[in-house]
Amino acid sequence: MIDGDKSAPVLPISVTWNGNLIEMRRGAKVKHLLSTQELKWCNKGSAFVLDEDGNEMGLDGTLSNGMALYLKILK
Amino acid sequence: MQSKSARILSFFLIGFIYLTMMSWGMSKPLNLTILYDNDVHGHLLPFNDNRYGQDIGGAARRATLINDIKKTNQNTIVLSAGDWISGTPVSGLFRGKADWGTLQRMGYDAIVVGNHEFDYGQPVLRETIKSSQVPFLAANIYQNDGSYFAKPYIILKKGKTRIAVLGLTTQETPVVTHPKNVEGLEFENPLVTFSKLLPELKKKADLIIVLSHMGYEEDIQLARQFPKDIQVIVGGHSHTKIDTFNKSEGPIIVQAYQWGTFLGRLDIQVEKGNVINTQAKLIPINSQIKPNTKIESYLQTYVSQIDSLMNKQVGMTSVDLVKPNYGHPLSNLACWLTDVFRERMGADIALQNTGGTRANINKGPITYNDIYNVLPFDNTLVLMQVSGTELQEILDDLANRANSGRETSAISGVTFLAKNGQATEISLAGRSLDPAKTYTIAANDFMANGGSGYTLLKKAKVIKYDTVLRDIVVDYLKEHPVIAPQAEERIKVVK
Repeated sequence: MIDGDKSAPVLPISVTWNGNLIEMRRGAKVKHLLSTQELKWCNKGSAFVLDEDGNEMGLDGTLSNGMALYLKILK
Repeated sequence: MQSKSARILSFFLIGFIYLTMMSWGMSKPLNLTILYDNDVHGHLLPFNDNRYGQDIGGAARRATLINDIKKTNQNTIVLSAGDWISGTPVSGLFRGKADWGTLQRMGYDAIVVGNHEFDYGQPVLRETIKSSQVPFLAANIYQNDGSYFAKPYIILKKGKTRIAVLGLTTQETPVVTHPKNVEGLEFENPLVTFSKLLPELKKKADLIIVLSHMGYEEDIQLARQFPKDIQVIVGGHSHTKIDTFNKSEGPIIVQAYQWGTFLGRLDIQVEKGNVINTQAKLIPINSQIKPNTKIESYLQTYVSQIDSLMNKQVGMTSVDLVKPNYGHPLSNLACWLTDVFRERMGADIALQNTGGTRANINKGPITYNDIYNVLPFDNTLVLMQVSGTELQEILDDLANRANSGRETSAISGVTFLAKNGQATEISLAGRSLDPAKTYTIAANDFMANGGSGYTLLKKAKVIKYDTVLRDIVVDYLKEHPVIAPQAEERIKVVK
C-alpha cells in the first residue's frame, strides 16, 4: 500500500515474475512483464498469467508492489 | 370482571409475545445477493477472446442476467468496481457517452471511480457524475476546497439490514493519467480514508462493503488492517479472476476478471451484521444468454454510427505512408509519428518501437480507421527525463539493435551513426550530446515500461503522461490537415 503522503507516489515497484525479482514502474500492467513471445502466446490463448494465489490476471491488470506472478503455458 | 392482577398479567403476556415475534423477525437472517463486475473497459458489445471463446460478454446479456437474478431475490445489490470506460472503438469514438448511457439502464446500485474514468477528461467525468442516477463513489478523492469529488459512500437498506457501500480509488491515479485530468484533485491513501470514515459508517450501517478500484494486493492489505470492520470487498484494477473462494476469517474479497467476461455473484447470509454463510461464483457471459432488448436497441444507435465515424476523414497525405520493418526503421510513417509525439510533448527526442506501428496508409484521405490500423494498441504517450549519460546508453542500445538487425526504434530529434553496437556522431538539433545535461524523451507507455526489451527506458524519470497515441495523431491532423512526410535515415547503420 502507498504511504499517506499526499503527493503522487512515483517510486518504482518490485514484482516477482517467474521467480525473478524485477523493478517496474508504478502503473505498469501485466502485459509489460511479458516478452514478445510470451505476449503472442497469451494473445493466442495458449498461455496466461497467474498470481501467487493461483488467480488468473488479465493482461491489462495493473501490477502492485510485492506481487508474485508467473506464466502458465497450456499444453 | 377481571382482577387487576389478571389484566397486568395479560398485558405482560401480550407484550412478551409481541416482542418475541419482533425479535424473531429481526433475527431472521438476510439472504443478500451481490452482483459485480470490474474493468469492463468499454466492452459494451460481445467480443472474441482466444482464452474464453468467441462471441462472449456484452452489456445486453449481462443486463438480462442481472434482471433475472433480481427477480429471484429482491435483496440484490449490483456493483461495478470501476474502469467502466475506455478501451474499445464504441467507447473511444463517443468519448464514453455510450458507456455511461448503458450503465444508467442496467440496474446498478453504485460504481466506484476508477483511474480510467478520467480518460476523457475531468469535465466529462464531472458532468457524468452530476447527471448520473447511479451513484459514483470515491471516498478518497478530494477537491481543492476539501470537499469530496464524488459521494464517499451510500447506505442501502435490505430487509432490516443497513448496508454501507464505500468507494476507494487507487492512489496511483495521478501517476497514470494526464495531469490535466486530475488537476485540482487530491488522492488520499485509502487506508487513511477508511480509518477516518469507519466510526461514521459503524453508526449508520450494520454491514460494510468496500467497492474498491485499488487492485487485489491492496484489497488484501485493507482486509488485513480491518478484518472485523469490513464484510465484503468488491475489487477491480488488477483484472484478477477470483474463482476460488476460501471463506476464512475477515472480509470476503471478490473480483470478476475483466471486460464483462463474467458476472460475479456473491450470496451471503447476514445475521446481526455478521456474515454466517457465503457462496460465490463467476457466471460466464456467452451467447446462451438472451440479450436484453432495451440495452441492445440503445447500443444499436451507437453501433450504427461506428462505421461512418471510423470512415470519417481526419486528414490527407500527399504520399504513401509506409510502416517500418523489423531492423529497418527507415519509414516515413515512423519518422512522422515520432515527430508528432516529440512536438506534442515538447521533448528533445521521441521514440516509437518498430512493432508499435502496424499498418501502411495509402496516399489520399486519412480516416480514423487508418489511424486505428496503424496504432491498434491503447498505448499512451509518456514524457521522461534522463541524463546525457543515460541517453548515450539508450542510443547505444538502439545502435546495437540496428547493427544486429533486431527490432529497433524510430527516432525524432536526434541522428547518429550505429557502428559496432555504439551510437557515434550524435546530433541533437545540431548539437552533440552533453553527458552533464538532462534530456527529455517522449515514447509510448509500452516502451517506457521496458516492453520489447527497452529496459533502459524503464529507469527514466516520468515527467508526465498523455492520452492514447491515436488521439494525439488525430489532434495533430486537425492542426495540419495535409501531410507529406519523407523517410529520413536518422540512424545510419555502418557495417
